[in-house]
Amino acid sequence: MWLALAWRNLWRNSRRTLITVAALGLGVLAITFLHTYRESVYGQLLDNVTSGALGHLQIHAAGWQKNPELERVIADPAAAEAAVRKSLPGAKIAPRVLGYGLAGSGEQSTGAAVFGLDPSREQADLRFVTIAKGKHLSAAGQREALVGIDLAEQLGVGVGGEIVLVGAAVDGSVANDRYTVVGLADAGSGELNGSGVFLHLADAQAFFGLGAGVHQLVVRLAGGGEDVSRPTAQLQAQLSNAELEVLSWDKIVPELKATMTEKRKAQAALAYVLFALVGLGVLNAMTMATLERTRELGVLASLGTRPRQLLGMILLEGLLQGALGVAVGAALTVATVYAVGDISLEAFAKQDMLGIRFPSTIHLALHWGGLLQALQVALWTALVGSLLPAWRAARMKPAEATRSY
Amino acid sequence: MLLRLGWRNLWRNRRRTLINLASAGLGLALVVFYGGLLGGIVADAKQELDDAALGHVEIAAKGWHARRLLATSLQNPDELLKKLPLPADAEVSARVVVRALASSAHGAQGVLLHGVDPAAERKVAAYLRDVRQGRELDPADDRGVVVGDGLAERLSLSVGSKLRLTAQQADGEVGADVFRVRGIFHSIAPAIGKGHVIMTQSAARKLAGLPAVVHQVVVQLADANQADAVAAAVVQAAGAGVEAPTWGELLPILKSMDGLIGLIQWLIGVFVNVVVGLGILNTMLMSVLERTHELGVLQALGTRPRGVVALIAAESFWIATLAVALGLGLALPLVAWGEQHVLLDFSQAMGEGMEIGGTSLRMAFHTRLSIGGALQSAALVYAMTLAAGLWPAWRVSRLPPATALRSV
Repeated sequence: MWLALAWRNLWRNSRRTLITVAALGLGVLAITFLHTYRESVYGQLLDNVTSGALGHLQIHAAGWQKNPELERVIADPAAAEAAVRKSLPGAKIAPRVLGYGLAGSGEQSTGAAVFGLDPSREQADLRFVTIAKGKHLSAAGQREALVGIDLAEQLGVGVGGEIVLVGAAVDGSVANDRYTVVGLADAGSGELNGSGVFLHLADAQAFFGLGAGVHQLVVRLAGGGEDVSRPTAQLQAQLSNAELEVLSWDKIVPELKATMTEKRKAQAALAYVLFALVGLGVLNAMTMATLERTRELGVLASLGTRPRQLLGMILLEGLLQGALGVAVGAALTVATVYAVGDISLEAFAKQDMLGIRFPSTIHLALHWGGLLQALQVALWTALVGSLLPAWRAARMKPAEATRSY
Repeated sequence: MLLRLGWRNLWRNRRRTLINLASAGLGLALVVFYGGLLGGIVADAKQELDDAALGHVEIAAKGWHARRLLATSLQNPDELLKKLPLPADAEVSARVVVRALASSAHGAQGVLLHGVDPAAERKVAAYLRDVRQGRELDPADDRGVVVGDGLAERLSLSVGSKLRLTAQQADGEVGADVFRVRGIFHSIAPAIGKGHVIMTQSAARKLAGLPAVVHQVVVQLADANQADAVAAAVVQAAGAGVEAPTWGELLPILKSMDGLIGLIQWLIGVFVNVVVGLGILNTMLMSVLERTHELGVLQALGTRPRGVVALIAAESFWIATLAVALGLGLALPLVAWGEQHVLLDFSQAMGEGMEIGGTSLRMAFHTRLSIGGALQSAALVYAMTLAAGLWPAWRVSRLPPATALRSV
């Protein structure tokens, strides 16, 4: 009954109620839209990262992440792979080698990061490089190389050209060999595109004298997601090898994870400030609504309505407005997301943040987590905004109240 | 007289007015403060350029920026510099730039060698003023290098360690030599800490087999807005063989962020004002309707509809003025204080610098006072309150006085 009463009271001054609901709705729109945008960006960033250079998880020889020395290899990658298959069914695995050398063409040379990768394992949703020009490495090692697009320009080498790599093998001897450039690679970040040379895994192992050893086993999970602590723990338990480390993506690029966390906090703070402003509007509207009805509320009180019930009724009016505001805001958000569709960030395209290529187009996808947050905040706002007037109304002396109008 | 009437009307319902003022004032404070914070992130390209040892203008032989070939160099750099019309207060450093492989007993890493005049270079490179172990490079020390802490850790170097540098020379031969680490610097950009090695110009030339040339002259200006003019003058004076891109061309992201932040501040301003404005619209509607009778009396006594609207507009004007005073009074001191102090510090969680598009943003934010931005936001408050007052005013002014008089 109280609900019906509160609902009817709302529409006694429908214009005022609509304006208040509109303000609440706009606040909800702001929160849910920002949330949707942010999570869409993060989703895409994460997908780029976990399908490219990093994967969701990586297995290394213990200490390699901190100090990537050439001799710290996973000596028996086959055993480690078997552990992954057993504990994380459906996961994809790519073995990689990383060393450094001097890459030279006829006229120019420069320090380069030399990667070894297995082209048959680098496909679809787990691939280190995309081929910008030319073709990928052959399935067997045939002294072929992919060169990062920016590095190729610096070296003045194109598809069909030749590069010379000079470096130090794991036993300290000088490693020196020639490779045919079969393609130009986009590795998803300016740093890698400007310094990366990609060889077949077997060629890289031979160049650095690593035998069967690899530096990274990059794992892309079938399910994925942002929080991969459970699969990480599962894999660790299955491996139970003190000579290996298992690291999740957020341990490999902790700055990215921290950026996401801090931005989420900052936007939550913005939401509260925004709703404090909306709340002042609600306070004003509800104050007016109760003052107008002083006499009527006094009559209710003299007829035996308890102060608690009056308080409840007015708070209920506030809550109903909050709920309407959330409904309006949710509808506006859906409409906005649908209308906006993709957001182009061309100005930032080809720019790296934290060494990661920023997506050039954001495909907005609804994230309802923001609505949940907005629902909480909006209901609290409406409730707190009506608390003061409701409390005043409940404490009125019926005799005085019935005398006013 | 109109303003005095408006002022008095304002205080007929004091609580309502105070709540309105609080919401409009806080809204403005939020917008101005947020703008100051955003402005602080890209306050002044100077800081970012300094951190990354880049210039507002970078002079090089034509084509060098595209491929950075050893052979694409500036001949007779001293004469050239004398002839160039650079402002007297500009900081200028000439570099020999060589790509090399740095190796120690513990590994190897591709690096960028900067052959510099240490005294000039330290003015344009913040990290050279932050040597944390050992000492800065001596101008006459052709056997010494200064390296970053990232490289030192990677190759297990300490002060006094040997560092082997290998580079391909201009004639295709491989040059290699062993240097001693004299100092280890710290940079907020991990890529620099891991990838830059500093030595004297003559040592770099000897390693790379070069004559007395330089590759890059970095110019940092006191006023970033002069960059285009300086670059144009440099190209004019130096002739066709020289290119002089500006920071806007080299680091487009810094420029685009400037524009983006202006847009964001404007959008937030509009949005906050619409939300606040709806609350004010509600109270203006109420306060005008309450006074329907009284306004009817005014009209019956000969006040024109225009006069009624003006009376209510005067009330809006006062709300806006007080809200602006409140909002700016809150936000401006805070923003001004934040110019000197760190208001927001993400460096614990995110590291001291965030790499973005070839430069690094410091993660401990100062604010940046922008009077223009604050005034723009204040103008929005005026527009919003006037708009919120006009609709009810227009409605009531169109009522026939007789109808208005009859309402209670």
